[in-house]
Amino acid sequence: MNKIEVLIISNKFDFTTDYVVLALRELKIPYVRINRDEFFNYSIKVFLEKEELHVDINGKVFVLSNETLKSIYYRAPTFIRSLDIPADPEEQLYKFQWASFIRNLIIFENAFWINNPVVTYRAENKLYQLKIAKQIGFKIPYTVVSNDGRLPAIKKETKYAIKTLDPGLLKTDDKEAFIYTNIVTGGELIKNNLRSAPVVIQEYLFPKLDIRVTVVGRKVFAVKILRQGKNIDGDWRRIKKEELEYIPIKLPDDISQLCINLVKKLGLIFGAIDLAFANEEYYFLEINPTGEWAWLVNSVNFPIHKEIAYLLAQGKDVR
Amino acid sequence: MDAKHILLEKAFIYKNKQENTENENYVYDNSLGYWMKKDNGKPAVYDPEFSGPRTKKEDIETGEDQKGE
Repeated sequence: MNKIEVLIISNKFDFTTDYVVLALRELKIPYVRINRDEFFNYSIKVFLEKEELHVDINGKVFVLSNETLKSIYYRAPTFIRSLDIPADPEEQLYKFQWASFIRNLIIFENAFWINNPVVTYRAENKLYQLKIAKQIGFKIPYTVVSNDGRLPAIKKETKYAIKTLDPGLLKTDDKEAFIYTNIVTGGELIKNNLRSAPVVIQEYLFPKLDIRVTVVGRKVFAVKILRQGKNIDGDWRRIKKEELEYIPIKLPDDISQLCINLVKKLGLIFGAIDLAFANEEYYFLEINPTGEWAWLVNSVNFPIHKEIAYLLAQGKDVR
Repeated sequence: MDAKHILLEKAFIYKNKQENTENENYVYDNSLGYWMKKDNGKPAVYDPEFSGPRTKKEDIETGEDQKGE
């Protein structure tokens, strides 16, 4: 029996998780990684009376209890945004019942979560994020959500940034689509159909400098994002990787502190924040509680994985 | 009024590719919980020849951020 201090919930092909696993090994912390796509290979038992979870992987039994488990690293979705409902009832049962099982691990109330899915569920909502960000002192772009482009504030010739409220993943037979942030004119908003779904309409910040801030507890990792040395008009994620540059920057202390405060206020430990620097001011755009970060380890050697592992090893919020 | 929603008009469309078909020189160790190179057991993510992590849309951020399955 191996008493476990850190539980990692991920999937087999989430290579980002490997960085955290390897950092935990360096710290010699007993951990177990369970993958959502590997439950067939595990024997799992939850003893609710003792609040214990036993995971048997290849004959090796890992024991997790509310007494000894320090932390949980949660790399799994909170909202189910499934584009594929399996045809096979057996697969449907696997998908939805194991997803529920993972969510039910919130029984480990004493554990330190990065991030707790209950908290992530709330924090993923864009309007809520913007409201809280503004409340704590961030400047935010003027924002309207509507399914009707004929708004008093919308001017025909003016440009606006439009985006989805929820990640815009769509599917047809053999293709998928993603809706990034797009720049449109007021004329397009007035003329086009918005009725079937709400749209986030924001003040168009131009010129702007894109900044990605990754917060882990009290640590702030910030990069500016450029395209061949220049600021980017619109959504930087649309641009080919080869053309993007990530340059580490030090944010002003007050902005850095606001980022830490926002993550804390939302109840998170980890958050990937998008800022824009425009009109000589820092604007909060959004925060992703489940944002990717391995690209920053690879491109600019930010030790984000080590910071996550360190906090998991501590098992507490050290802010 | 045009029939198509403005967000659909602006959507970025890409082929629904099969993922995770590469990396055949690497193996995942179930009890250790990470990928390693078959011939020397070294961690895959620190091997320059290893191709992950990546996203379906070939972008940096949104494809594997645990928002969809």
